[in-house]
Amino acid sequence: MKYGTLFAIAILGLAVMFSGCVQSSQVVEDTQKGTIKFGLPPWPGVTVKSNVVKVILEEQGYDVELNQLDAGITYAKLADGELDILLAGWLPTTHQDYWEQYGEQLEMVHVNVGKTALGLAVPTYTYEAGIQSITDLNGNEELFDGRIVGIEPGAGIMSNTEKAITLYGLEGYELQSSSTPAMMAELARAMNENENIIVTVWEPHSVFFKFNITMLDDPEKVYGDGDKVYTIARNDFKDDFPEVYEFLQKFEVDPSVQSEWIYKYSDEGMDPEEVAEEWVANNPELVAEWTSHMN
Amino acid sequence: MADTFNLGIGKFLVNLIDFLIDNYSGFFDIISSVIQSIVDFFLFLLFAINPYLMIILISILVWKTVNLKSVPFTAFFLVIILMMGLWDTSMITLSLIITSTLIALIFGIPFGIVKARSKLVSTLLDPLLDVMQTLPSLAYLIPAVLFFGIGEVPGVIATVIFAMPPAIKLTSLGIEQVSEELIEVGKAFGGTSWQILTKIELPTAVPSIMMGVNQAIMLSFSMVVIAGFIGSGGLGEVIISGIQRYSLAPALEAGIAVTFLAVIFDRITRNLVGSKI
Repeated sequence: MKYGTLFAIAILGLAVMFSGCVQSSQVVEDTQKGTIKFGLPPWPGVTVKSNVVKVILEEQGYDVELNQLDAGITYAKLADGELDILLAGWLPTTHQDYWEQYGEQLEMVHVNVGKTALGLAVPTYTYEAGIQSITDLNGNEELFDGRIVGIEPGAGIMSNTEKAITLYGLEGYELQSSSTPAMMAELARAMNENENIIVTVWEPHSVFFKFNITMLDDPEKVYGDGDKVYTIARNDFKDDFPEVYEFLQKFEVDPSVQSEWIYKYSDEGMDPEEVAEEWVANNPELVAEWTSHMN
Repeated sequence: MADTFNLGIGKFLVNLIDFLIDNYSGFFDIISSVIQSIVDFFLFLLFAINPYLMIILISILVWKTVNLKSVPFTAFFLVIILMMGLWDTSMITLSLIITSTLIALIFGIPFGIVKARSKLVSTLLDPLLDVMQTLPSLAYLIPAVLFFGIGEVPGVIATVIFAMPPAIKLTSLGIEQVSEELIEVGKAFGGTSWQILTKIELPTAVPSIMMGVNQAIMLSFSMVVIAGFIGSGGLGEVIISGIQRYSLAPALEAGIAVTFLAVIFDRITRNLVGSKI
């Protein structure tokens, strides 16, 4: 073995790697109006919604960057000014933890979806068999194998579900964490075999299009009275981009519109940008109204 | 891009999955319950042993396999895990890893032997092994849930798929490298092909096979976090939860625990037969 040759190759490889790093970190020149940076948790609703805003702002001559990051990182990066906007602040309940941690550096610009629902759901055949409220879960552990199928550990709806287990005294149940796609797959599997299953879900979401499921009543309001979805900006954003800020103060969508976006993106497999362009093209009056102050 | 001709491969695969679920769900249920009971057995075992006793046992194992010098490090690593409050979580992860490695070896070593003996099997197996090692696990995790539900089972299956190829390849390599002379000697003494395999080829191939065992374990450790996405629990769950909430301290601690465990088991398996690789 010629170690000298090997060593030279290794050094060469490293050199190539570093030169790549240098090239890729060169900053792209901004256009005149500047760049707006969106944080984008990997959820279908906010993905399409951010693309809609991107299409509208690009028409107005802004550069738009969509950065896909976990919700927690998005909040942190908004707070330290590296990102500008998040279009999916589920408040006051779901993202309460994030807001307590970072709210001081952030501003709620506007409510962009006025009504959401969040909580536990069962297949409609289970609902019709008499499990209609979270209180009905007590004593029916064997129906559900004593488990509630959740999403990513650490998500807002997960800590709320832990609270629900305590508050409703559901000692016989265990909250199983997985991830949003795994939860949907597990729901598909269970309903395929006509099993009873409890899942953590929220609306707007395509899960209601895909599966015949029904929300359980939450008399203790553990999941809040229905969050609203807020547009959240870093504190100085208003001064840096007054026109965009004013646009965001007008921007709101109907829950059914967002659910339809989600459906087209998640279930029909359309590109989120395509869904956005189609919607913007079909709703010129609304877009014109939102952007009237910019022209 | 939109106007390219679409073969509909994805649609075909989805239909295939649906077909398999509709017609063979009983078969998958059997696999599921077998794996679940193995995991449960190890969970029971690891939880039954007092942590301090476990630290002593693992330290003795390290002393006997590696050397006395490594014992303080081992004990120190394990005590750190205990002090971080991650002992139980680590035991969940460990039982997943032991189960996955066992299954990977039970299938991997025989396949490795056959692959070494038969050109045809080798030709057929190689592309399959490449697929197993390179297919992104996140791509087949969700389909795995459709077959096996969420929990420990799909995590074990994903890990086995990932960890089995090196066990097969290294077993096969070890046997292929046994020198012709040795086999000639065996034949000269009138040994049957079975005797040659068990008395000559396998013992000579042991270092390579142990490297396969070692690689299977190390790869299992790297799948731990991914398995957290399908409800396998353990340290992966802690890491994902920390990243989700952007509270990095618990995620980093769980990461350290994974690394410590991996290093200890790496050293033990590497030195089990006194082979210094």
